[in-house]
Amino acid sequence: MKNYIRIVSILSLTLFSSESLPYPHFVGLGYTSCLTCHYNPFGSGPLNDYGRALSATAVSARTFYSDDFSEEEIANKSGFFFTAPKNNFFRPSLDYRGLLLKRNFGEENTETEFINMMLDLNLVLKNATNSLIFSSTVGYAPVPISLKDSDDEVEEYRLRELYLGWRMFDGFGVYVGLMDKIYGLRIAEHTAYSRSITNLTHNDQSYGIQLHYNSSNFEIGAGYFIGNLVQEENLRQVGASIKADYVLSHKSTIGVSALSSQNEFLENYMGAFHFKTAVGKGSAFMTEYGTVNKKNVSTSEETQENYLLSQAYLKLSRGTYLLNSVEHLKENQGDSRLRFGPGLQLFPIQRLELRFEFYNTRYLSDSTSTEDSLDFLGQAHLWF
Amino acid sequence: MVLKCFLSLYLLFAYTVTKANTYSELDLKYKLRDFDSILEEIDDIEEDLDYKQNAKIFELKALALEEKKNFPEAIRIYQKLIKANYSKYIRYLKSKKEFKFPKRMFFYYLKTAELFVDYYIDLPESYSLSKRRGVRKKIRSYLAVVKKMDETNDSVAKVFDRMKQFDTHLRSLEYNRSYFVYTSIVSWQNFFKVSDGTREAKVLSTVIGNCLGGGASWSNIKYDWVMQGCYFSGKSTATTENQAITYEQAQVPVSGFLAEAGWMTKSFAEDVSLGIFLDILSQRGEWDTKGSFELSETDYTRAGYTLKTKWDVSSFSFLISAGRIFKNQSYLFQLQTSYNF
Repeated sequence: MKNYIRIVSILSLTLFSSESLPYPHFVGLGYTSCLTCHYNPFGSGPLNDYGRALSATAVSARTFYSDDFSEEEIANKSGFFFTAPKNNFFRPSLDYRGLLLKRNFGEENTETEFINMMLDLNLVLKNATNSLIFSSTVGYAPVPISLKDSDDEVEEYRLRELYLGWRMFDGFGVYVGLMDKIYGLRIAEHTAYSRSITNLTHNDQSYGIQLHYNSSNFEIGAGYFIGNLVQEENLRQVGASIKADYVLSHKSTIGVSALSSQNEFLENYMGAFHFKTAVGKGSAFMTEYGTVNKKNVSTSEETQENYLLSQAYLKLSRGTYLLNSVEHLKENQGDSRLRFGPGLQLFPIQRLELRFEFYNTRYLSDSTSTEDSLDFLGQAHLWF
Repeated sequence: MVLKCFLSLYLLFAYTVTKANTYSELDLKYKLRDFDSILEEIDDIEEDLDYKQNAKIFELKALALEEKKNFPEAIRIYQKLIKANYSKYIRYLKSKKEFKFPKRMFFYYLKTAELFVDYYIDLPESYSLSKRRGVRKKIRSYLAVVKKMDETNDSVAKVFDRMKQFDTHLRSLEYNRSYFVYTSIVSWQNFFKVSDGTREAKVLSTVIGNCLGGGASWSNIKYDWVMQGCYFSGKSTATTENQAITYEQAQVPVSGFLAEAGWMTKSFAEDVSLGIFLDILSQRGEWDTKGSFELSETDYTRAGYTLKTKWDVSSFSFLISAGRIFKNQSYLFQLQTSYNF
């Protein structure tokens, strides 16, 4: 399997490809479905041509373009390495995300760390109408802090996507291969409680089959997954998930998600309600409330955790968003965590995203009172 | 005698040709949008011109002034042109009988009305309402005249619509008072002191609870001025950390009020506001002295500030606030839902 990953990595590196992260807050621009901008209908993986053009025009600022430069000209530069696509079947892309993390910001014990979070190479092969696609993404993933001192060999490159998709008829598609599981709002922050306690972070893809159907007022996805084949067989989570969204208006959706999976050691059951809406022109509000039940198979011990995610994006100008995140996690023991903070998201020019965020975490416990921790996150995201 | 006549005619001809050339040159400059040159040149020769003989040159000046947004001066020129050329028709404006007015006179009145609307729109937003009413009255009087001169002309309706549109905009700038009730989840941290008579330690209290209250806002399309207050009821968990005295107590009832006054801007989006508030937080807690301890600074009234973001959805508003209460530890956080009457 490792050799197989290496081969795909080399192939992808040779052909220069990539991935991009989902931004459901672009519901603020009137986009309720991920499929508008992504090849993958659930929002992960690379942007399609329309998504790239949109990110270059409606999303990114015109800071470095003169008034004479038309939106169409900008859109024409949104392809791979500032070019317009030269064919209909081959779409390479490259994504990088770096993070400057300052833990305990403003305190004496401040720790600063720079993390190369992601370097993804993606290759999409498709037909002219995008009804048939093959997508593969190989990415660099830093070794998690918890495994840094581990004796186990941890791969720093991983296959994040390898699937074949077929839009069989209008509104319906089938996807087979390695993909993100279908569940909840696919936000970019993989450390959000809604992604971390559900084990749906940026490295939790699984092989399986997914079905997607969307109409003008309804979107539903269902998938069966068998785990990631690079894992030991007994560790692979096998299960199914479903997500359904009802389009309340052209600018808001309400939906539910459910996921059930298990391996030899652990059973997972989770469900969530989610809502996203545009507010004004370009601003958006999203919320997700979920519950996660984990059962230890050998001891039958169960843990129950609930989370709430609220994210509000205020469009200050084209390419500039003020964000406000509020997260609440009710842990199994009854304690909870409240995380909140403001941030600024900038797209000064196409292919560049900058994020500056503060997260204040408050621990709410029945036994001890702990001082809050304040973290600063500065992110640079480049895509080509 | 013949020579004298010839000379007079020649001078008249030369004068006419010169003025005609002057007009042609100025007209060309107008077409080239060189408004500054037009105004400079006319200023140089204005003493030799009169509003009757050189009406076209003055019209050009008025048009150039209009382009330069000097509306009062452009209006003054049209008023002088009316007076100089059509004073004898003015009395017919008050007559109830129908009268056919000269087209140029109609044009001057229409331009005056249009320029008054431009002036009206161009006034700073801080301009007082009473003064605005004065300008609006003048516009209406000019429009009434224009309407009397030619009832069928579309231009009158267009000018009138423009004024009405701006009036709507103006009304949206007027502040309206409204009331709201709200509920919020609020949380903060603060230290109080614990003493056993000889030693003293700081106790960290983490408070979370609900706040119920109401408020009033004075809002226009751009800004909100808000005053609000709520009664707070919650719980605190308090512990000392790594200190000589060990004190801890959980689920302590805490109550108080949170009063806030502030300003919000809707400059970025009509339904989204961003603002800053001054806060007063007063809390009382029922911490136990556990027999031997003395507690101080458990009850307090402190000031602070918060930054708020508000989303208006129908009659509801959702607010996220974070800020500082002076002397308190960390940040005050509030998640608020309001119902607006």
